[in-house]
Amino acid sequence: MQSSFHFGFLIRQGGYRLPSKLYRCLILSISVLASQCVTVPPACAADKISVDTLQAAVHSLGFLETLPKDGTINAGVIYAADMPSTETSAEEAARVLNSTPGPNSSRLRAIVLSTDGLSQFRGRLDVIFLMPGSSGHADQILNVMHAHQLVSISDDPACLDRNCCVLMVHSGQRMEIVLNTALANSVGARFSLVFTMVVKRK
Amino acid sequence: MCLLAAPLLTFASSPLHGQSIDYGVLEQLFREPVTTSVDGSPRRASDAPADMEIITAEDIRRSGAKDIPGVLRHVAGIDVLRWSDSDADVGVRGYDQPFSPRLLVLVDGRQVYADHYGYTPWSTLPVELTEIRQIEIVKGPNSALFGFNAVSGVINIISFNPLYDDVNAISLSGGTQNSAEGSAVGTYKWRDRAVVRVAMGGRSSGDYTTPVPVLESGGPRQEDNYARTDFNAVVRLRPHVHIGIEATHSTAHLNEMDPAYVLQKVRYGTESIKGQLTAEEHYGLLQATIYTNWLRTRNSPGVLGQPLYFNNRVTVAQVQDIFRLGTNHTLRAAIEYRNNTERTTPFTGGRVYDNLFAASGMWRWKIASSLEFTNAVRIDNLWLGRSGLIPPAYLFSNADWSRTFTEPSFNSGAVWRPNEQNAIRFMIGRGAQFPSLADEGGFVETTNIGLTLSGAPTAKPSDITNYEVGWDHAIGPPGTFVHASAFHQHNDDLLSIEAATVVTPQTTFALTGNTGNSDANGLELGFHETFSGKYRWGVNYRAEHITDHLSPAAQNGSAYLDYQHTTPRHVIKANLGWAPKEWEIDSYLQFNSATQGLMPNGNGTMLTPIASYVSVDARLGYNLSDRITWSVSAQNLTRATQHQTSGPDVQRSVFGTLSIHF
Repeated sequence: MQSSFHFGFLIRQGGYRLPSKLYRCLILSISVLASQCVTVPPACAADKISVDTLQAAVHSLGFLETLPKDGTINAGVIYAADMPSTETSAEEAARVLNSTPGPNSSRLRAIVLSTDGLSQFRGRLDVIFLMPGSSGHADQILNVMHAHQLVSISDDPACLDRNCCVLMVHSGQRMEIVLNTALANSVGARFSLVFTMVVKRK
Repeated sequence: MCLLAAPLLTFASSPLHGQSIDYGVLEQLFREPVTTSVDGSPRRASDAPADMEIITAEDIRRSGAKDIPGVLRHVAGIDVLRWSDSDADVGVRGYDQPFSPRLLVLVDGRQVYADHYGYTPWSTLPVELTEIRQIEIVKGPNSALFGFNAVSGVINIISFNPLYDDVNAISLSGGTQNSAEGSAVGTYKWRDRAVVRVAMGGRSSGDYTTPVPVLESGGPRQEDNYARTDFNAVVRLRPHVHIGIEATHSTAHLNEMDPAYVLQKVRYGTESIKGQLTAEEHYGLLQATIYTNWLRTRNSPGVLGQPLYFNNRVTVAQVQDIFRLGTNHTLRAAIEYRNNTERTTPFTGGRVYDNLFAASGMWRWKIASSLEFTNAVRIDNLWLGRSGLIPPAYLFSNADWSRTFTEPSFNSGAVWRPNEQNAIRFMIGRGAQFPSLADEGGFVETTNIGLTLSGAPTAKPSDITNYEVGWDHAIGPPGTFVHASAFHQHNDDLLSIEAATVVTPQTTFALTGNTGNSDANGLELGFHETFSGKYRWGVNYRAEHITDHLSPAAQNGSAYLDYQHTTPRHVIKANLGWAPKEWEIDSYLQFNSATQGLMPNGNGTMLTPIASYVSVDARLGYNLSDRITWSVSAQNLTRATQHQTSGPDVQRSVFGTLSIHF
């Protein structure tokens, strides 16, 4: 097991715009938080980020036919509002994603949001990753997913049980990718046929 | 914060969107090769319900081999009989022989197995080693997907897809046996709509200088050489619809061991043309393929004094659709038509042909998250025929060739994955080997000693049934695993070039036909480890015991057939590789236990002893830059000559190679 880091992506078919002031505040906040994570408290030190898993998740998006093939993909990194300690891991995940080439010819731009913040978010998101514990807010996440036709990705198998992630991606001894077919259909996500034949399907 | 240090992987991102099967992207995502060679649908190699090996492009490059049999030689369960510097026969789990008919070989799904005599002339394959993405080897019968003659196994050579992979390379090499070789591959893309790849290669060699046993000599050796060209174009009609056209040409002159164990001089000429439509639509993954292979051979006059001219044409048309049904089911439906024709030789004026129609289906059922079952079936209907002149005093008339064969094949396999580390496979398969056109009368030779050698319309297909259980266990970090498998194989109605003798007042006929049964029991064990990204090593062991039940006339290797005594009971292969910075150092060892070989005795064949031997291949490579590699490779390194077959001893060969990638 290489990762105890959980993240989620919500993928939105259309996207919505983020007010520039709020964007700048978010970037500043991310930067401040990132600098604080240099002296990470012990609880944060337990969160480990698997670069393999993150990259595999991004690469899986290349098989999502309803996602734009170029331009910028806004990726929400969602942590549980009642678990502020996971925000640090979310910031770290966002940093990794920002340095990861996007699928096809696109570029990734990661935005960190709590589950509460996600419900109130008015900007444009194309993708969200679910952090550990955020699956506990499955109803809240699903409401946003269905409202904006978003796809979620997580590396936490619990998200499959709670039916709140379309893709579960986990890099361990084997690369495990599970597609929640019913949820994908309900949010209008369509993956390449070859991809759906190779991954596990729930 | 804690960040696992890991190199940032760069995934290939192509501006050409849409996928048929982009092996490279899938391999990067799943960290293992993806294959369609088991049941036609794409799946991870570790999920395949078959015992299969996949040789990657890096494995090929680091093998130090000069040809595909040289690459295959290092693979567990593969037997390679090297007859000359350019001639080899490949078998899976024993049952190897000159003109090995039981192994089906394809390049990108097009058969390169030669139907005229039922074997694969490796020197004529129009594919360069630098063009190959992966070689997929399925052990055991796989006729349900690939059709008849895939009875010992299937080797599917997958080249880099010009649509997704930009391959531009030049390779030059030279070495012992006066060998010189060059190859070039170039890819050109036009916007996002079309791509063309052209590959060409050539080689010449003075061949081995070891003595040829007198009874195997078909005359002085000739210089081996070959030249080949491959033109491949793909056009994207729509985002998920591609059309591909491929044309190939090859010529080869080599010293080749024929089924009568005579080393002959042979000249080959081959051409092929193939068209393929691939579409990924709501009704599934559709593929329609049509191709024609032309093959001409000229064998030097053998001991019986007559040259042989084979002129064979095969046309194949296939349509398949792979689609999902719900969450847990994947299905495949396919139909195939094949026309195969050959002129008789050395007797001229006749033509033997067959037409085949086949229907096949596959059903993959995900029973539970840890259990998957795959079942594939195929029905082949073959109509045999003959037209033209009949030899004087021949046993048969054209009407005797008006025959129909119907052969079912199936492959069933279950893969149980109780946890992430373990996979257990249970497999049953049945395949059919049809007689070649030569076996069916395409070859008719009347000698001046009162003997007529001939194929016969009475030869019937040989059936093979395989039962197997396998276990794969992953240990520690990815790339480390243990493999074990046990198999039992039953072969009915083995085909032999001399199965029956019929005496008439005019001549004595020695006819091709069926000559008995054979059973094989085997065990394969393997361990493989890759660590630190620099080191890799592996070892595998195969134990196999074959029991033949042949007709009295074919006992003890007297009728060109004896698998029991010619398959080594113990084979060990090991490899060790190290790649520090710019260097690549690889070595391969093979041990074969003592066995026997067949050689002619003037009245058929006889057994001859082959002592156990250890053979070592090695390669030392240096990357001058990320585009230029210089290497030195050696085969049969430890001995100047070595007795590995009943043919001439193989010689040590050493050659240097310069490779440039653009």
